[in-house]
Amino acid sequence: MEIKFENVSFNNVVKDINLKIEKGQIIGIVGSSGSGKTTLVEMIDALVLPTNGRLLVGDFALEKGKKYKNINELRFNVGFVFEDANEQIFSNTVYDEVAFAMRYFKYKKEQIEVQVKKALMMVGLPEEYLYKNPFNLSHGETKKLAIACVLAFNPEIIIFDEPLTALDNASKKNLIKIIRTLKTRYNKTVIIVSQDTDFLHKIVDKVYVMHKGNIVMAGNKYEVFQEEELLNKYDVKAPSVISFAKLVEKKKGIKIGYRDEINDLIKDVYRYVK
Amino acid sequence: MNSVFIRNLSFGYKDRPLFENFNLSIQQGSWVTIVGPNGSGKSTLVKILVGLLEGTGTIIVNQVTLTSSTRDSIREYVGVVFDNPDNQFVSETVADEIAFKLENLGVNKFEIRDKIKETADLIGITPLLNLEPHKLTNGQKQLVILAGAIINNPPILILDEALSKVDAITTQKVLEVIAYLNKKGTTIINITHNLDEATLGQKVVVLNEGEIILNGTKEEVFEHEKVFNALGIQLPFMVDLSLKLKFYGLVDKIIFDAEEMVDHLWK
Repeated sequence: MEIKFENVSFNNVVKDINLKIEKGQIIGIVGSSGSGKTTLVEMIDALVLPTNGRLLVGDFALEKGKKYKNINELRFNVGFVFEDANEQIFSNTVYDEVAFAMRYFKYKKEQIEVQVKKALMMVGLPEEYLYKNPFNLSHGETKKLAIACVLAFNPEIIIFDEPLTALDNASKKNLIKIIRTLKTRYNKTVIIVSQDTDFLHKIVDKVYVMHKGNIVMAGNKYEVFQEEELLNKYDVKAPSVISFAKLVEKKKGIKIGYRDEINDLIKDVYRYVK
Repeated sequence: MNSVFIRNLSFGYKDRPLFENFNLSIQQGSWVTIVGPNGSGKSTLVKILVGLLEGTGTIIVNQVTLTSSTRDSIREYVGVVFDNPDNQFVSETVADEIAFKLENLGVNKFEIRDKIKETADLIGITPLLNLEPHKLTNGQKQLVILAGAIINNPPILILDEALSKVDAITTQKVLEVIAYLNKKGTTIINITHNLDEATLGQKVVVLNEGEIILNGTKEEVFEHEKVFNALGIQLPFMVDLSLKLKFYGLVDKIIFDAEEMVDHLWK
């Protein structure tokens, strides 16, 4: 399912965006706070509607002033994990919370049970949590629950807004694994809004940098992330592995290459120093 | 001399004890970063230090023993920035917000005006002074709270996850301001889950379930990679890099500065 922004604006927050996101990609959206990145992705789930232009999510067109009775056809295909996971929790048990969307979309009871359990397993919440009250979970567990709720109903497009908030290191690594699986095994489109370029650099294919409502940089992650000075101008930090490789090049004239992971950087350093 | 002295602190919530005979001293003028997983007691410790929660034991902050009669005046010598700025705003404009503490202390108008300007310049929020605090972005809000916390030059500044909603570049700017304050003698106590913030300071304390499991200079503490892995705390990039290069015999210590590292590798 393709996502297409055609001259889309939202007040002064997002300005005249043209953008095409193809199926099966992992997209990173970075920018300082107030750059419009959250609003941009909220439009994909019709949480806010364009004040100008047209947004196509598959065949579903979102435009200003239109009334949508069938908005759930869109929401069936788009899963949104909010930054503040508490905002989306309202059920009495973990099971009901994860099952909510599937019940709404009239999944069969047996299928709901299977998918609830599978989703909890994927995010690393134990099965004995099924009948716990979600409001008694810790921050990190609530975040995992919010992710499970979205994974469970199996949408085509999954949006994460600042997914790392409240997650510890082990949970971060698990999230990276989940996102990779969503792409490689299920061919989902994943859109991640985050300020953590170290995290994004590990998993995304493409990056869009937002600044004052505009997309100011776009391209594959290596193209975008090596423009360190430009990124800094937009209050975005270059990923540490790239930043270090650039420093080596600048100070010593040695091109050790741009890598995704620190372990690959170490191998390069070892090779060039020895 | 100690800025903070805690002896035999015990404290617990209804259903579970947290601190039992807990001891910690923080030297005047030092910069201590306190880390630990969720539920380790970091935020509770801050609340006890600033008098929002009360435990048993002896707590001396800035040479004053905390009692029911001294607790109220603690904010005069301790600046505090919590993680949720919205709960901390009381004024209509940023300028009034920053000045709040000075007004309470009865400082005269002209001096307040000068202090607002000086503090806003230092933090880089002068263009925001006439705006309403609620209309700012999360990052800007935190800068305003920080300005309000340091306007009366408190000898101790406590940050409780204060930078968790601030972008990486703003975080860097704030840390530079904090480094400047620390250089001038302010004791910094930073509670965070982001260890990158520790690299400019001197000391690191690691808490787990109400107990101190590591306490020392950042160089000493970061050597214990396994402890951080077990607690799910990510080491700063330069520390991670140093420890891995050390394993291959390319460096013999943790190097925090990237330029220094490059010079060390390619002499």
